[in-house]
Amino acid sequence: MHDELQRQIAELVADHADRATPPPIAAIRRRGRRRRARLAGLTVCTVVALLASAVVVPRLLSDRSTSPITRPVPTTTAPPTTRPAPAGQVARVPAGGFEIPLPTGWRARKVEGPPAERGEAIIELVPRRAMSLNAAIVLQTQILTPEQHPGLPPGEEPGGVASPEGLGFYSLDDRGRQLGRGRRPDGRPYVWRTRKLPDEVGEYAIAWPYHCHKSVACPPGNRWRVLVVHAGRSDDPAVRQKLRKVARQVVNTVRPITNALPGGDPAHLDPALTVTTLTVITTTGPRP
Amino acid sequence: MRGDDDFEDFYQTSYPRLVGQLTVLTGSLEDAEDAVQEAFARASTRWARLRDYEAPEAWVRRVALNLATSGLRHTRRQLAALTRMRAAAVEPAPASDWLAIEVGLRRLPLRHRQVLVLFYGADLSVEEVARQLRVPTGTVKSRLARARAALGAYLEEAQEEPGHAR
Repeated sequence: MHDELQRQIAELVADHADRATPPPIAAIRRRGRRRRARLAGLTVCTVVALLASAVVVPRLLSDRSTSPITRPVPTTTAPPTTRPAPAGQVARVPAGGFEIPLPTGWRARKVEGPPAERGEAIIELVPRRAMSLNAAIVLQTQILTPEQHPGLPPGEEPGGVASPEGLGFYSLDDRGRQLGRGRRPDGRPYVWRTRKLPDEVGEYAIAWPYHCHKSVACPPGNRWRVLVVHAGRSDDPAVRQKLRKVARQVVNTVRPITNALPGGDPAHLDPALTVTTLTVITTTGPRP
Repeated sequence: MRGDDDFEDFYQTSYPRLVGQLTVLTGSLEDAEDAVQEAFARASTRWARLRDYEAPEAWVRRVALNLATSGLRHTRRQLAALTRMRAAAVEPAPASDWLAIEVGLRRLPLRHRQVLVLFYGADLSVEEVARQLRVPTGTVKSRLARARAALGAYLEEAQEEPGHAR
């Protein structure tokens, strides 16, 4: 068997070898020279590109550092300023119904630990270069206590609203103080916590209702769903100021997707809404 | 020029042999010639160094094998895309024994074909095959055993059922 295989394969190779006619050696040498020339050209281009970027990038960076610094906006009164989202990177969280164009110099990462283990869709934005241990902006959807919900018209009693089964409502801990209120350029209302700890930057809750299609089981907490943007802590006033700016940018640029849009894909069930407490309704979920 | 003469002799002697081996591996004379020609073109610009090697043919074979293997992977991806759109073409029936072995070889995974072609077709030792493919000798041995078993079984079936290898 062994010898027979050897014979057959060797014969097959020899047969193909007999049919092969080597092209003129000059053609092979030409091909080799052309390849070497191409590689040399590529190397030169790469070196030129590297040198150019080494010259241009520091110049661009220095231009940016000399531009005037925007005056900080007081957090308790004015709504967040609108800044264009940087083109390119976007972090998407379909289950949470949001996507966020990443601010320049920031990256997104999933939050590990108990909330993630419970299936909650939480991401945090962190600076690419470490500013401070807690310099992070956390985004997650929650079911806000109805009295605090930005979509609840002033003076209206939410009445008859029960806590989602087994979860409890999320609350902006303001110890009786009035919440700040604002509206994004797209009309979505939001609230923010006015009471501040000495080293804390801020917490916002944007109306982010869950939309259901007709005849689709709809979670009862959908109306009170919000997207919470929490900007972390730092003792350093400079870091707090930077964080505040980015947090406002995030509040204005985070975009609704999937279940946060009327007619969007409700297949992504927000983990903040309990699956066990679904009720069937016949119309789309009410908007706050 | 002595170096140029050396290279030409080496090219004329090794080219058909390498094309024969690569054709069995790739199943296409055209692909094999393209890979071997490219490997020789690369060798031509390095000949001053390669000529001192104990076996310059091994270097050329390795380059050609790498080129052919990456070409095959590319083709396989194209084929996978094509088969999603249309039924696979029917292979012609073998006309003789050695065609049966050719069809049998094509049915083996690439890694098994490589060891068979190098061990039997190029007459290399297990250690040389291992060096050529940059894998441990144990891996070569086990691949050889599996390839032999699979090919043997196929050839037996082909013998029993004429027209089997379709």
